[in-house]
Amino acid sequence: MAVARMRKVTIFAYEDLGESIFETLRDLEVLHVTKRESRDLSYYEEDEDKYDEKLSQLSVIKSYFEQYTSIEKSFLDMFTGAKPQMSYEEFKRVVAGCDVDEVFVTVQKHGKRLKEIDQAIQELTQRVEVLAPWVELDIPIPEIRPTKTCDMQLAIVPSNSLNHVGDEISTEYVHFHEVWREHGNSGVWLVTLLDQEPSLSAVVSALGGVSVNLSREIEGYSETGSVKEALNNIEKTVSDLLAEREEILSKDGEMAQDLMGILALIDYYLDKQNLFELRKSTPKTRFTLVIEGYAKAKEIDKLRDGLSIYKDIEIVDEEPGEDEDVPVFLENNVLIRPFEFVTNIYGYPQYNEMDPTPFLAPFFWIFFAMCLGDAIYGIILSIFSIWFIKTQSLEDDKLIRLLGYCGVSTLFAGALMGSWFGDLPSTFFGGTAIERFTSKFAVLDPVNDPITLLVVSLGLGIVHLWVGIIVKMLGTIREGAVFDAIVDDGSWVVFIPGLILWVLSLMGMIQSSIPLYIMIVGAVMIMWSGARNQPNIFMKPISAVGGFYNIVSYFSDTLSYARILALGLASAIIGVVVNMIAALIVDMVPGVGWVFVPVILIVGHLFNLVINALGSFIHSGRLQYVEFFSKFFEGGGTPFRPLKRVRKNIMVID
Amino acid sequence: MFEGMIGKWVLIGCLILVGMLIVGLFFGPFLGGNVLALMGAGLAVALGGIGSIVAVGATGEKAAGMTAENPDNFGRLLPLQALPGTQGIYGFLVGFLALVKMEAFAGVLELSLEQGWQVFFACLPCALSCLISGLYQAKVCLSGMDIVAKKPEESGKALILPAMVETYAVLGLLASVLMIMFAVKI
Repeated sequence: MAVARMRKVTIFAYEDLGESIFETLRDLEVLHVTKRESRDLSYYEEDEDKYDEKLSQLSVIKSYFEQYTSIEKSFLDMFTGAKPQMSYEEFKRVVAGCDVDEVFVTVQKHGKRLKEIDQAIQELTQRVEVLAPWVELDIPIPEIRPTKTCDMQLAIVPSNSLNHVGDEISTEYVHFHEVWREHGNSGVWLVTLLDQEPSLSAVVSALGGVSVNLSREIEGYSETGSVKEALNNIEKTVSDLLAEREEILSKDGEMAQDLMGILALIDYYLDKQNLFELRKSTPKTRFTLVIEGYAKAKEIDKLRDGLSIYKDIEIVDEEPGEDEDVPVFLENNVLIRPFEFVTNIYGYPQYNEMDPTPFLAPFFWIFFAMCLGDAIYGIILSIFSIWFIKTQSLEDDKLIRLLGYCGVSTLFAGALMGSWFGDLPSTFFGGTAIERFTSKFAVLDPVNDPITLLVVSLGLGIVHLWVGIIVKMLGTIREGAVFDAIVDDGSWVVFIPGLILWVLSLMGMIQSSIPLYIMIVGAVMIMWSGARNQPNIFMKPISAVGGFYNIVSYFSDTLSYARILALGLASAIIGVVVNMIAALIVDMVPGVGWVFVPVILIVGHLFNLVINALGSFIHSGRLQYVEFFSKFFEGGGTPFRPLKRVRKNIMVID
Repeated sequence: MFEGMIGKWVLIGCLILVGMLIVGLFFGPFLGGNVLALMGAGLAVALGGIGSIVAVGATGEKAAGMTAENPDNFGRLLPLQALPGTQGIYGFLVGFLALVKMEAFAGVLELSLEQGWQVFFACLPCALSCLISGLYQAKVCLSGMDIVAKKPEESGKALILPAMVETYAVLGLLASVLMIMFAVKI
């Protein structure tokens, strides 16, 4: 219940034992180590570099392996953040047996070679594209060059220009042979006599073509200079490269099966690094190490037992000082614990503050239920929660338990509001036992009588605020200022119910004058509380009246609870709409309309449930944070985070 | 970039609203009460819808980019994207209630001009508050996603901040619902 008692722990030990002690502490998981500003300890730097280097190597290996394989994650894991599991034996084996440097070198070599192969293949493919059309050319490429009397060239020209070669240029001294024709272009071999007009390049440009030189393309792949030979050789090289690539890929694929091991190693080195950081920031003398931290009072014995393996060590535990930033751990019974999730979203209480969780729990439970307000949605939530906890291994199941608890309250709220999948019973089962059963519990109908629900919402809001003020009063009393608590906060605790009851009696709902007196007592206390800190005697009456100013903020806070009605209506009406659409479809599609009904109902109600559960959760939370916490809660405590093994990528299980 | 778009969409929404108002003022007597009521219902659905479409679009864009960066954040980002989607639902709800009030599902009532205007104006609080709150809520959600990126363990806080903006959409919804249910005399 409430904030766990802590002991301040100081451990004095031989400096040499440092690493081993931190590892023991990590395995014990009971000590929250206080971090200090890091000190200048240059002789450690080498170690630091070592971990950084290993981690960067591992991250390269990891991303390389992830191209080949991946750890399977289910859709749910994306929400739970579940990590793959590994047994402790396996973990130890991996850490001992893996040579990171070697794997890193191999990975780099393979990566580099794969890149080279890809580049080579790409380059060769380009060559093939250029060469392929010329495969029929039976003249060796080096022979295509100017001779003593002739000029020779290969050119690509538009095919139709060949048909009227004679029209534009004198072909007397020009001979050409068409080697290939494709897509309206032709590859031609041209010969002219030297020293004759037109020159060969003039002929090519007159035909609208370009001359080509294939010697670069065949370079290195043809001894005789024949295109055919070059193509054959290139093809062979490419297939060799492909084979090599396949081989590397299959090797990589095999290596990548060890991705889990790499993840484990990353965690291992992260853990090392973490311990190292801590060790670096630990104050020490030449021979002695001083580890400071906090442990739960209950777990001090566990800590001492765990450290009893060391002889040259001194453990001191003491009550934490007044102004220390003591880490906070919330301890509640099984009914309240899930609601810590709500508190934690806002933050942690200060060590000396009260834990607000037990106070907000019942209200959150009720508000959520009224916002969602459907019996079957509640049942679904609870069943989902139980199923989820049973099947998934969660590090932190507070949220899911909270949903399960709230499912129960939603069932009640839904039954009271007569909402079972909206108005499903009356839409589809009108006049049957189901409708009679469900309507038995209904006491108010939010859709047709929202005013009653509005009054209930605002009423609950007033109670909520009132409890908030009481908690504040208790907190002040706990700090010892009993008188202040009774005058400043107690006044409102008396005044608010007095005021409400008095208004009710004015409306004739209560036949009694007692509320009036309660209210007057409260009012006098408020005036006193307002006036007593005002030193100026003439200003006292004004301060006294000013004490009532708070009533404005209480009033606007109260109105904020109207959202319960609005959200309740939203989920109820959307449920009704879904049912109505399902009912309409029966008439719209004659005969087979019934087939669509379950689909529409399931999809529609699931949508409504998800979107409104989100809204209900957030708005019920908001009512705690803004309206309730502002009355008494300060927050800003440091959460208790005992030193633990780093589990970023995998979960090591015993 | 999104900040610059908010003003534009608010303006577009208001232009649609003013356009409808002008149509109603000048042609109301010819169109009749039912058309006015339907215009109001349509406005609630459309303006709330616009707010949510633009908002969910912008938040979804950022969420997708961030998921590409780190797929583990998907579960935390999804609620943040969905959050400004509720305004569209509130708008739809009011439109639906207006239809129920007209007894659209049990043989339509013949509304007088005055009744038509009543429904029209009853729909406006929700229409406007949903349009504007949706857009501004998206802005908070977008910033909230930075919380998820930098401090994933504090994601819960990122959910509460946008809820403050939604309050006014909820109040607009409530006002419209109460008006349609109790203030419109049919």
